[in-house]
Amino acid sequence: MPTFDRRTLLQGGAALALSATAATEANAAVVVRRSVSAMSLNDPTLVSYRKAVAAMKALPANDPRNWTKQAQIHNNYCPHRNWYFLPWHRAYCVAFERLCRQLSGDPNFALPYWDWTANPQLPAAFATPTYNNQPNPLYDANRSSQTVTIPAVYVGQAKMNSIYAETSFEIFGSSRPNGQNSTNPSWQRVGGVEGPFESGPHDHVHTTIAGDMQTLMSPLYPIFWLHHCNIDRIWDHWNSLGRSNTSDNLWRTFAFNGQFVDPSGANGTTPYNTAVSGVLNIVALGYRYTLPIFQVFTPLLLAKFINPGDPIERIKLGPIEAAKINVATVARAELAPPQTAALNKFSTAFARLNITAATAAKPAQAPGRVLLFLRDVDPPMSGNADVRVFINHPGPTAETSTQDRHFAGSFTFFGVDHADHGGKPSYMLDITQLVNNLQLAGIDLAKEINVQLVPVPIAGVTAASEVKVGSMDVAIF
Amino acid sequence: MRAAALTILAGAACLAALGLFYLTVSAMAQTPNAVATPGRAATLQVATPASPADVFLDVYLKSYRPPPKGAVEAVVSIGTSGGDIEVGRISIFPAEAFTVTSPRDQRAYRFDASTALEKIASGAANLTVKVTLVSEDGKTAPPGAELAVDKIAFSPRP
Repeated sequence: MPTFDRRTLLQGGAALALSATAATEANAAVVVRRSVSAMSLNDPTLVSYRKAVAAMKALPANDPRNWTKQAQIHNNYCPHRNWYFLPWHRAYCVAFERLCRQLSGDPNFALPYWDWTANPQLPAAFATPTYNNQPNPLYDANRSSQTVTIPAVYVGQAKMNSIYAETSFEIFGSSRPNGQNSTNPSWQRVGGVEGPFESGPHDHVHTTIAGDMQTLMSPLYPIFWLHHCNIDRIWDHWNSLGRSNTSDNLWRTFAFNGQFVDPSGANGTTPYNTAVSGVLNIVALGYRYTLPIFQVFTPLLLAKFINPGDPIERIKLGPIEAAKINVATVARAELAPPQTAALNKFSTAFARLNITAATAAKPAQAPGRVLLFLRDVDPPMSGNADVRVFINHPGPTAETSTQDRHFAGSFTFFGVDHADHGGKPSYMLDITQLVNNLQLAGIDLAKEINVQLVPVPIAGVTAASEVKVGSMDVAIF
Repeated sequence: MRAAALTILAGAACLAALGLFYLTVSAMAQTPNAVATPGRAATLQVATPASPADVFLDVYLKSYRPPPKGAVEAVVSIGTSGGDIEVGRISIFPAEAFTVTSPRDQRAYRFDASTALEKIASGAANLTVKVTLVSEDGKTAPPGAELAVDKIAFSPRP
C-alpha cells in the first residue's frame, strides 16, 4: 500500500480525477448489459432482441448471419472442458451482440443476461409461443418444459458462493487441455478437467432445459445467449473480486481465427478474429455489467476526486458496529425534512421524464447524484471478504441475491493489508439509480435510511473475522 | 443308519452352499464396480489423502450412454462404510453418447473434496467414491443409461 506526501497526493488526486473523466467519456460508448428479469415484455431491449432474432431467422441459409449459421459456429468450434471455454464464449457473445445491433437497427442494444440464481425460472419472454398475437421469435417448443426452473442445488446462492471462493483460474475456468504444448488451433477442443463452474451451473442449465439446449446446436434456442451472457457476467464478477486469470501464454495468445463474423464490410460481414488477450477487458469490448465502485485511499484524495461542489444534504449514519463474517450489520439515519425533500426529487425527476427503471433502454440520468461513502474501513485480520452493501433491506443475509433490488454493490480488499500503515481504504458507491428504483417500487425512504453490510467470506477468512467501517455518510448532490 | 448319514451329508452340503453363497455376496459387495446404471452405483476405492486441505477429487469418464427417454445426472460422493457425502454432480453436456478413445478426448471433472474429507475424517486407508445415476427431475432414473468411470484420483490445488 503506497504512502503519500503532499506532492504525491496532489498528483494522485489529479490523476484520479482525470481517470474518472476518461472513464466517464469511455462509459458514454459502453453499453450496460442488464438482467432480463428487470425488463417488462415490451422493454426496448427485448423488442430489439425479438427483431434481431426474427431477422436472422429470415436471412438466406448461406448468409453468415443466418440464425442456423450462427448456431453452427458453436457446433463446429465451441471449446468445453478446457480453459478456452470462457474467453471463446465471450467472443461469441460479443460478435452476436454486434449482429443484433445491425439487424435490429438499435445501435445501443446490449445483450441481456439471465441470472438463474436470482430468478431460476425460464424468463417469461421465452416461455410463450406468441407475443402481441404474433409468433414469438424467442420461443422454442423443443424443450423439456414451458415453465422449467433450474434447481438451487445447481445455481443457488450457496453454490455460487463456493464458485466465487475459488481462486485458481484453472479450476474456476476449467483446466488447460490435456497435454497442451503449443497454441496450435487443434488444441481448442481437446479435453482438460472441467471445474465446478462449467460442470455445475453451465452444464445443468443446458441439460435441465433440454431440447435444443442439450446439444451443441443449443444457440438455436434464443435463451442460449442470455445463459452465456450470465456465464460471462459471473466471470467478470469473479475478476472484480481480485481473482486473476492465468498468465500462461498458451492461454493468453491463443487465437480464435475464422470462427466469428462482424457486421461490416461490403458483403455485410467481415471476419472477427481475436486472441484470448483481446477479450479480457469488457469495457474495451464496449460493454459492462455494473457501474464501477471507486476505491480511494485517503480522505484528501477522496475529497479531490469526488467533490463536484458541496452536497445539498449530507446524512451521517450510525452507530456502526463491526460487521462479522456472514452476519448483517446495519447503520441508520433518521431523515430531517430537508433531507427527505432532497431524496424525493429523484423519484419526481424520473416521473417527469416518464421513464421507469423497468422500461428504460439505458439507465436514465437524474439531475444530481446520491453517493454513499464508507470511510476508513478496516479489513479482516486475515483472509478476505466480499462486503455486500444493501439499502433499506428488510433483512439481508449471506444468501441474499446480488440481484436483489436493495443491493447497492460490494467491495473487497484487493491489495490491502490490515497491517498497512499507509491509511485505511474508503469506498464510494453511486446509489442514485438504486434510490430511484426503490422509490419507484414504493419502498419508503422518507423517514430513514438504513445501510446494511454483509461480509461474505472469500478463502482464508475465519468466522470470527470482522470488517470495521470508521464512518458512513450519504451525500446528495 | 444309512438314511441318517445321507441326511447329515445333505445338511452339510446345504451349509456349504450357504457358506459359499455368503462369501460370493460379500465379495460382490466389496468388488469395485466402474459402471453406473440406474439402480446400481459405480463404486471405486481410492487412497485417503494425507491431509484434507486443498484437495480435489478428479473423476475421469470412459463412456456414456444416455437413456432413450428422460435425462440423468451423476451424483459423486465420497465415504466409508458409515456413509458418504456428496461432492458434486455431473450432467453430461452435450447429452450424447461418447467413448473416450484417446487422451485428447478426455472427459474429466474436478470437485472440491476438502469439506467432505474433513467431515469424514475416518482414518481409513481407503475411501469409497460412488457415482450414482439419478433422474434430473428427481424421479426414478430412467432405464437404459450407463456411465463408465475410467479412473478417479485426489489431486492437490494446482
